[in-house]
Amino acid sequence: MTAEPDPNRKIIHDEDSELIQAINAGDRQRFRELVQRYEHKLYTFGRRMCRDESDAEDLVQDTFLNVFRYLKDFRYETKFKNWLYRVAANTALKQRRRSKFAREPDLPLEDVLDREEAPGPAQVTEWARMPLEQLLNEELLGLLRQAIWSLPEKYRIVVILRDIEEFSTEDTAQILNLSPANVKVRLHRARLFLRDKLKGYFRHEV
Amino acid sequence: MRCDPHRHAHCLALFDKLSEYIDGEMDATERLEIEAHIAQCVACFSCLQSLRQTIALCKRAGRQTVPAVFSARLQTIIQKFQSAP
Repeated sequence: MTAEPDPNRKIIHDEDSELIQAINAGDRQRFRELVQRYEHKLYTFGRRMCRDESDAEDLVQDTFLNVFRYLKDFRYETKFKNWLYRVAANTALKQRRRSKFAREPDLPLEDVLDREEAPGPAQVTEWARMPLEQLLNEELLGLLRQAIWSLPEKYRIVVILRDIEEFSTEDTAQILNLSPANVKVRLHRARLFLRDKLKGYFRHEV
Repeated sequence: MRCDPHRHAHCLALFDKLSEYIDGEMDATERLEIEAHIAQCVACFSCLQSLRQTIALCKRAGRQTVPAVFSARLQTIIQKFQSAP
């Protein structure tokens, strides 16, 4: 049974509110617009979360189906986009539980701390100073995507939401039901892990 | 003066806050402390640069185009779902 909404709750109106209201008022055909509005972003989210392309497509499809089912329960107390991504995140977690039962490891800080005794040879940091366009190639992008997939899921989802989907710390915390401090710690460790992979790549490239 | 990298407790403490610094999520006092340290510590400056570059690369690695076939299939599935009583 759904509890009565708090009459003093803050209502958020954003760029999606009108569309959500129309759909919930009975104009179900407009759900198509919602799909068109978010399918690209959710597809990116899915492809970064899931190594397997068909898992990513299932994630997107299941997310939209869940949104369709539960849209009537959306209370405009958060940004719609945050609510949408919470549905996506929960769908991703359920998907993983179905396909893999092993508990995912943490990323202890010691594993991602820079262990260099001194600043390395010039070429180790050369890549850090080069313009992005000079660095980017399909091989590097492939490596980075592999590295993102190899992150334990609780770190992967934070780096995807913060650095790829560009949610703020506060919005990410809301989506994942974490504290902002927790989001920051996980993000930092995820970034250091990815940096480690890049350092290894550029060390071998020289 | 060059810091003895990564054995220095101060380096390690600041290292943990580099993401917050890059994201602009730090108060002015902490930010100035980091900036003062980085100005004299080559190792920490290098860490900062490489972390910044990692973030920039990550943003680019994220981009993905929805395959037209999947987009069409998604619309069909949604249409069936919408039509269900």
